[in-house]
Amino acid sequence: MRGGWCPIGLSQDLPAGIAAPVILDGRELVAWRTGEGVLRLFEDRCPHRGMRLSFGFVRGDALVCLYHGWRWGADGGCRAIPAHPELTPPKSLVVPRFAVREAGGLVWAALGDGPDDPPPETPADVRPLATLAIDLPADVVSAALGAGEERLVEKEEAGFALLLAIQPVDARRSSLHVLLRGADASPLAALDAAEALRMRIEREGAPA
Amino acid sequence: MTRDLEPAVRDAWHVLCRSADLAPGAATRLRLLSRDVEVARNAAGTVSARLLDGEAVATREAYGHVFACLGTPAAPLFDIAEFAEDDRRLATCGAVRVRASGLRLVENFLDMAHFPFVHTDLLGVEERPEVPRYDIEIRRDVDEVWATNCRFWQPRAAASSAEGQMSEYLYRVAGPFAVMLYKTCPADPSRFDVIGLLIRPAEPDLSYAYAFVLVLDEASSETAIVHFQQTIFLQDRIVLENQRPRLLPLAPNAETPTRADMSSVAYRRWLKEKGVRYGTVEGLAGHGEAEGVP
Repeated sequence: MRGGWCPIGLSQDLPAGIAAPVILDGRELVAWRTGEGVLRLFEDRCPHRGMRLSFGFVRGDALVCLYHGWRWGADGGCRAIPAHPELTPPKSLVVPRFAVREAGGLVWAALGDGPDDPPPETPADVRPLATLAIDLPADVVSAALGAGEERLVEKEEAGFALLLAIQPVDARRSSLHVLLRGADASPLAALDAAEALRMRIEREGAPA
Repeated sequence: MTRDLEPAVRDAWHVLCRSADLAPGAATRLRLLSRDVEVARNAAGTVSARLLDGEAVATREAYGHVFACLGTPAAPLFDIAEFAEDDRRLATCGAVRVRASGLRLVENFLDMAHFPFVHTDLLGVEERPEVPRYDIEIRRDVDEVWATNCRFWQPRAAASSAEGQMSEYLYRVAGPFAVMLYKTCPADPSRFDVIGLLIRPAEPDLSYAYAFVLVLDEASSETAIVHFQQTIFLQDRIVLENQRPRLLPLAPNAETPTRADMSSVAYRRWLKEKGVRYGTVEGLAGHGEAEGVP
């Protein structure tokens, strides 16, 4: 699946003006949204002195590094270097960017250039629930859910129709982004069901 | 046991602990340069140290700290002349553990450009972030890196400051893991306060930092002075533990310096010339596995 779309979070957990760390396939990334709501995915490392940009803060349409206040625009280009207020940063000064898309309450990313196809569709009647961390590699989680090669799988659990998006974090960990189908279902009870599912996967998938 | 260490690190002096933390008759084990060292003080007050597998190592006690050299000392312990001035007060801050290369700690200490963002409203303000041009030199006679004519606007430059000042700084790298600065003293503008950061590199990406302050400040309590320094250093630690890679890259294209980073550029060049590899990206293969390095 490397190079294809991978889920990295729920749209609701990334409000405007927020920067958050994301680990995808072992790569440290930062997802951030401008004050106007434009979503971006950058390498989580300021090119200046290697500081993780997810520790920075969003100011207007720029992501500002915590260490020296270097400002990075939505296109990845450096907007300002505060230590040298007169200097116009060279165009070559950029943070690597990655493809990111939103669909049906999920945020999808691709480490390559981004596939031509859009990320998988989600049904119209879903509501985002939560992201659960699982101490198992994604292929073990996929096998436990019978997901095959798909990143998005629907699962019936304790009477709830859960839509599960599987994110490979690194060689040992994954994240499960959980959405709920059906307008009548109780989100709190569905969350309990999702938590029970997570515990079962960890128990069954744990190496003997 | 120390043959695999490059001479520039093996034959240099490194801090082990504070003098005050080693009572007469006491002994303690510490990690230095990926080796276990036992340091002891006898009943008469004399300090000695040895590698845990037996070999004795050279020690010195000065500046409120105990130093060791794992090889043959290439030079005497660096001199800090201000320790001879008896109207100064010494405050030692003790050890702070940092999950980063000690070389990254030195570079952070040399850096003025981060003051407004990491030490907001203490050592800098966001409205005045400019780093004016300063001078940098590698002093060959003493084998040290110096940055001079450094200036920076500070709202609260020291524990004793009541108001903002244009601080003047001199920075001095006295060893690969030893750095100090001389800074405008709020109490007496004709003299400098001395602040030092002595680093014990435990592993390539794990450090213990010992800060000291040698100031002309009769008003502040020792607790207030130490608290101020600890506040500053704990703010730095957030940055230091989140730089990637944790080790310092010496390759010129690995990171992107500007004119404000001239001291960091000179420090890296000096480390490279001396053949320092411990704590660098380039030395990774020679010193076993380090965590968090891509």
